[in-house]
Amino acid sequence: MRAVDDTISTPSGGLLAGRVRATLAIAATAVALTACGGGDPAATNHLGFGNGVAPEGDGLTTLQAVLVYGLGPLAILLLIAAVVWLPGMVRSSRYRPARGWNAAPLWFGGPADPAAAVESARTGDLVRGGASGSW
Amino acid sequence: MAAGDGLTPRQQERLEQAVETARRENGLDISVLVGDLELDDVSQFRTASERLHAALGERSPSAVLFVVAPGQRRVEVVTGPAVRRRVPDRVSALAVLSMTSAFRGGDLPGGIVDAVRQVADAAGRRKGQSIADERRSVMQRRADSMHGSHADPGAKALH
Repeated sequence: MRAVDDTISTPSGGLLAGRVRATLAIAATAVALTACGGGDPAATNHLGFGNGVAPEGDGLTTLQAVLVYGLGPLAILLLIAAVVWLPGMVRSSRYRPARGWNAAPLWFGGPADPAAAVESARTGDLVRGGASGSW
Repeated sequence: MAAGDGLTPRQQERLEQAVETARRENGLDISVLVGDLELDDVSQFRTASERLHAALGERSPSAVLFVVAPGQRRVEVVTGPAVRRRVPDRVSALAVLSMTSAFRGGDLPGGIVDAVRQVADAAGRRKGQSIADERRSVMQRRADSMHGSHADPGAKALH
């Protein structure tokens, strides 16, 4: 039991550091909220609306509502989609087995003149090894 | 660049490097052909690959040739008689296995580079290379791999 307690107890140094961090975080939040005028409703109520009172004016027309609540979000959505898809579309050099291959053959470390070498190649009686596979 | 249009210059560079590293550090003559072969029937693939291997001329007996046909979805490893002790058929089979699984996932250059390394590692260092040389080349490889972006833990686990 003692051994278990020993292993799970937090070292006092770590505990102190954690408390200091928490205190600093709370202090920073409090300062930020006070600076924003969170404690004083009058300081943030720039439009002058009364609490619980409907604002005066005609409100939005149908067109404005569609623009603000329909097209606006749609535009943002499309922008994000474009940011996600465009890089992949620009450099989509990834091989896809189903799409085939229409590039000219490349021989790395091959003979200087592959066409002529293949033309004059004689398999001879060498016993070659290796392996094959398909996918 | 659309899919199926071949390897990018960066990918070609990676393949060249892998082939060159195998030659320099393992004294292994590896060459890689990426492209479809003109065949009437895919069953002739092995014969055609052996012909390509013969096209390496006097290098042929001690050369290892990888033939990768992305459109025909076939891969072939051909080893010359003089190199079969260093690269036995089971090593070739393992390399083919790691390539096919990488290709199925769409990673063409990565699969080839890993397979080339796998074969080169299995072949060991070249005859007459001292332990000091070996150590130096290992350090060099480590330095290279720190710069490279080809780390593929899945394929590495096959070793």
